Amino acid sequence: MAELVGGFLIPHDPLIAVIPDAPAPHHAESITRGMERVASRLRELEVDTVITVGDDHYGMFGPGCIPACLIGIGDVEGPLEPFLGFARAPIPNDEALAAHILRVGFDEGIGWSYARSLVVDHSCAVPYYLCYRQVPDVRMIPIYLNDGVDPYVPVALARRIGESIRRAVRTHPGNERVAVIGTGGWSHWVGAPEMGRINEAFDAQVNTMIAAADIDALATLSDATVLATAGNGALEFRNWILAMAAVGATSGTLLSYDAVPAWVSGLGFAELHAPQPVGAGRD
Amino acid sequence: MSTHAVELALWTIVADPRDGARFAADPDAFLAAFRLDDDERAIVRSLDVRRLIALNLNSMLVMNAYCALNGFQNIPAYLQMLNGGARG
Repeated sequence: MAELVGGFLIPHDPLIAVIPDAPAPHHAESITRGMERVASRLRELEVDTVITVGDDHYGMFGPGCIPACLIGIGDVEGPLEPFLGFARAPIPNDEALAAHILRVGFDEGIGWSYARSLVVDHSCAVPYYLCYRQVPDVRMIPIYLNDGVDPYVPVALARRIGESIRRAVRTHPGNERVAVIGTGGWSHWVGAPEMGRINEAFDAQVNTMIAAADIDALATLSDATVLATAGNGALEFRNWILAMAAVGATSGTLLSYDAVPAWVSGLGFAELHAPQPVGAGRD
Repeated sequence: MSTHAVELALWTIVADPRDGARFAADPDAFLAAFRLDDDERAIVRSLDVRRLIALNLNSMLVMNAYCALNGFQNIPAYLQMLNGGARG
């Protein structure tokens, strides 16, 4: 059976790729080290499939159809945005596991949308090109939550999806070693007048929740409060909730945190820990 | 004012560079395909980002539309427009 062997939280800020030299050198170096450190852990854990939890920024899905949650089960390529500077190219997917996650989710009442052909935006492409690509032969299953267009995916649903993915991986008749990675920023405003502001007090509060893998505490963050104090970008905490629930995390190690005004976001890296080998527990 | 048609027009500009080019070349012809009233058409035509945000349109979409037409590197100019020259 496939096995969940790890979980991480990492940034997907497009500005890391677009203007890499804009921040103070110690910030840029910290983000580079974070990407390398997660890639190193993926290699140590012998991960061959990374389930990446991203979110559309109103560039992939239009007003005609905005999926609450979507999984790519077929061809994947990226990035969507030419300005990132990565040549758009196919990204290997683990189609068998992705399809199994979809079917298990349907059986459990998850209202998945799915894509047979998907061009991923920076929320999956930046982690892929800056981190996962350092891991030989790694495949990526892209998952998108609607964190960006009101009404947003309910936090409780993000958690249920994570729990469903956990069960799906454990029942998948493959031999994959799987990591789940939630992507996104801490406080940040995207396209709003406050863009560039970072609320380090909010970020410190979230870091405490991550260290305890306290999904309940994260889930108490109301959208109105987050929007007012940490920005529309911070609604990406749903991605972390999904990852934590999928891993069954009971604690997290904050690998680094940087408030980087030049990249308009609080940016961090964390490793999620389960009480025993992630794939060996019971549900 | 309904924001839905405005968002559809902006998203169409964002989603395909060829549509962005069509808008840039002839905004009125491009916008004729959308169910916009005169005020909406004027706001989109001028890409008045302050008014678009004030109308409670999705700020990511407004920024994406601006960047589709002016380049991602011009986000400082976008912010300057958005904040009335107070920052950039």
